Amino acid sequence: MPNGPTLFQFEHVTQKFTLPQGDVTVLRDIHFEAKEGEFIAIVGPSGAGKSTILRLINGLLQPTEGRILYKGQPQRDINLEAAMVFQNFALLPWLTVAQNVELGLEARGIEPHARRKKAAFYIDKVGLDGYEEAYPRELSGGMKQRVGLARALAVEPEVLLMDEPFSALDALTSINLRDELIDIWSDRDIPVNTVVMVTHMIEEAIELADRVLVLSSRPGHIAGDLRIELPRPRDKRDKQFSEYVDRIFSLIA
Amino acid sequence: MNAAARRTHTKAQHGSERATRGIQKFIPRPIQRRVQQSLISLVLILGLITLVVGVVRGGLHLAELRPEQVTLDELPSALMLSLMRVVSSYIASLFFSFVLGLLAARTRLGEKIIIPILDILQSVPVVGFFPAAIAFFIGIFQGHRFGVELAAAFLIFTSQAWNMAFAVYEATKTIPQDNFDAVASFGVKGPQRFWKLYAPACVPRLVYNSILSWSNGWYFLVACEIIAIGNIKYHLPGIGSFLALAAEQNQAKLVIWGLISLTTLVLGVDALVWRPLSAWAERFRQDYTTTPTPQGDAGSVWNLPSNLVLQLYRKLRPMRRMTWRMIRILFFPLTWLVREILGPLVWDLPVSIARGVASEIQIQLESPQSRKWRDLWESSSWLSRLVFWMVGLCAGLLFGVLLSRWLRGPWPDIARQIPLAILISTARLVAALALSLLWILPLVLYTWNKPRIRQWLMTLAQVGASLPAVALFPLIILILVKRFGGGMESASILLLLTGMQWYILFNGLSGTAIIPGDLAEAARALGLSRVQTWKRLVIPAIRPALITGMITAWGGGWNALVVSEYVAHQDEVLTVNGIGALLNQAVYQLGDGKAIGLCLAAMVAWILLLNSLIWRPLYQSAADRYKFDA
Repeated sequence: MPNGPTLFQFEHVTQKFTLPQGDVTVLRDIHFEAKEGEFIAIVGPSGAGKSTILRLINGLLQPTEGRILYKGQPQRDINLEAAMVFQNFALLPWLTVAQNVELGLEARGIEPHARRKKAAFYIDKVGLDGYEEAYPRELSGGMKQRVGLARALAVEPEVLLMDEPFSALDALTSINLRDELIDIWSDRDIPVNTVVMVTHMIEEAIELADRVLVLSSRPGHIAGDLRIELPRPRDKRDKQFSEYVDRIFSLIA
Repeated sequence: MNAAARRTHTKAQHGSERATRGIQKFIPRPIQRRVQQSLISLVLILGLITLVVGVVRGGLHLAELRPEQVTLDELPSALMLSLMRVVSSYIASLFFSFVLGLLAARTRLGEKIIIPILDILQSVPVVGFFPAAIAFFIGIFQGHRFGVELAAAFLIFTSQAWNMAFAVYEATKTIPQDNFDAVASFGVKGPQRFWKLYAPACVPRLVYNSILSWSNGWYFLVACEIIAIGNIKYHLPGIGSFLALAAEQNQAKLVIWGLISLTTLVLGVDALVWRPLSAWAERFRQDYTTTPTPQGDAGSVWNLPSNLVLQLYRKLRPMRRMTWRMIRILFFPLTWLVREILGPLVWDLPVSIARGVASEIQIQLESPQSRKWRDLWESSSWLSRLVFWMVGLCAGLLFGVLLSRWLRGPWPDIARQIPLAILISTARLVAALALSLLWILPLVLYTWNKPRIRQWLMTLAQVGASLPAVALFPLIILILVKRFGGGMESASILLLLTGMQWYILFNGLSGTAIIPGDLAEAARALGLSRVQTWKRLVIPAIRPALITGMITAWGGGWNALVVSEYVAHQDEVLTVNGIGALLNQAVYQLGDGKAIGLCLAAMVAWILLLNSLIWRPLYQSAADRYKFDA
């Protein structure tokens, strides 16, 4: 995979939360850099701080120690060049599909006509053409997540963040959506080319990503960083594929 | 007999069997049945006799309990007495809410009958019914202090009960069908089902609504502790009457002391009871829409007492069990008495009667043909037949007497003033509502993502709602009208605010509390500006809660109206044109039953009309569209 210049880097980032029981260290000394055009998957057991890394990239959290550089600049606020797809969709129930997709564009001050056009384009790309005026509750889980994806894509982010995007869906739906995600990622009409995805499913990570960051838990730290050198489309029954699975398993355990 | 009817009939039989299970153990069945029957008749007849004699005789012997000069020494005992009054009414409301709420939620007929009645009772200004309730209770006890005490307890009860019954009803209604099936498949029945399924399911809503009811009780305490019919005035020793008398006697120092101690009490109960209870109630939530955010709210100083109480409670678990065992052994004779004799008498009998009546009515509703009707009548139990006749007879008699009295004689002059007065009062309520929203909405928007400030404001709302502003009306009026030359019009709107704004604040704040964490995060991640977040996330999210708050405030407003349009200070009466003032005139100046009845009927009709035309559709649309589901 062609990798461009560095997009963002974590410099010895440690993250602590204050809980009633006291301080908890969620991430310890996370240090890595991501290149433009990479598809990175972060895998690890639950509680390893996978989602926290995404929230740090997005600027929803600020690191307790260390710093995060985005295109060489220290990041201090919400990163508007990033867009997140949430595990439980996080769609506003009182807005239609189109209004939900337009939300990020509205936040960026794009005028109504242009944002309607852009929203329509991405709604079409995720295969929801004709559902513009539907409300989230009228959609199935898979369709809701397509709206979530379209909403993130519509702002044309430099980095697409995905927080266990398929874990709330049934198996068949998530297979379909995974295939479509790869299509979208390689679609030249869509400018998004860097993806960071969090998952707890090792197979999903190997199937989709160029690079897998393996987190170990309590406190979360990077236990492994490996490139997946397999041609696409990837086959789970492939011998090399299962070798990767075994390697990641041994890193986590 | 058709299938449905047969089913309900066997259900009724089953009910009365259950009722007698307690006594069954030691008395053979036929004797037991006879005993039961004669007991009911005895209770019913005795009750009727007391009622009739009481009303007839006692109504003529109203002795005045004269208010004296208030002193600071009375404050502690006044506070304690009021606390006991509110607590006992609260306990009564709790029982009531479980009985009615469960009946409404679990029986079709109950839902059809109880819910509309509760709805009316909730939106009707309780204060307006004071004279009737007082005459009743004082009549029974012939002006004895106990009667006055009961009247007050009843009035406080009416300000607490409906809201809690609704909590039980709604919570029971939303129990997932799976849980019912699970409980049924394991054969959990009767009291066990109550403790394992219904009671836990009701806990979160019940605790939440209890806080409102608790505040409500304190607010109306004043009105209940000073009871006046015509020119005869009763006053019960308590913080409400203490404040009112001190205000009337212009003793500002005593008023301030009274307020400080009342606020301390409210805050203390909040910290030691309601907060730990709310934290504990979280365990019983059946939905988990909100993911807790890792914010260190639990560490704030304010939560310290409630945390301590919870911790203490948890630490004492082994000891608690032992204490329970001790209590059980010590009180065994008493509990045995309650379980085996008092229980069936007080609980099972009324329940079986209610069931009998309910199934009777249901059978009648379900079979249109008269032949079947007669069959059923003959096969129905002696008990339900008797009750049916007695209820029918009483209701018919009462209705006939009332109607004939009503129709005789000329209509009071006041009747013509009613429509205009109602419109003016409505305008006043709208103004107060708008004023409340004007300061609350910005506050809620500002604090929606600041949980700590929200906690403080919630407490403020709770304290504000429980401060019996009614007691301070004379003082407020005095300052506003006399010193600053504001009109009575502005004063009455200000007084209305004291009874309305807290509901809106409380509900608005709790609306922001349930905004799911991931939606708030999504709004941030998308980079929505502050105004965009308000417009797209916060306002739509709090709409249902805000409308609920407005509906509650509207109901509370009608109550406050009755006391805020007509204020007597020393020998002076300050009044504005409105239905509340009219009602007061009818009660205090005219003492005319017909005028009171007309005012009340017109007001109730108007309130119900507005509810069904405006509030209910508004709420429905908000609840349908603006709910979290994904």
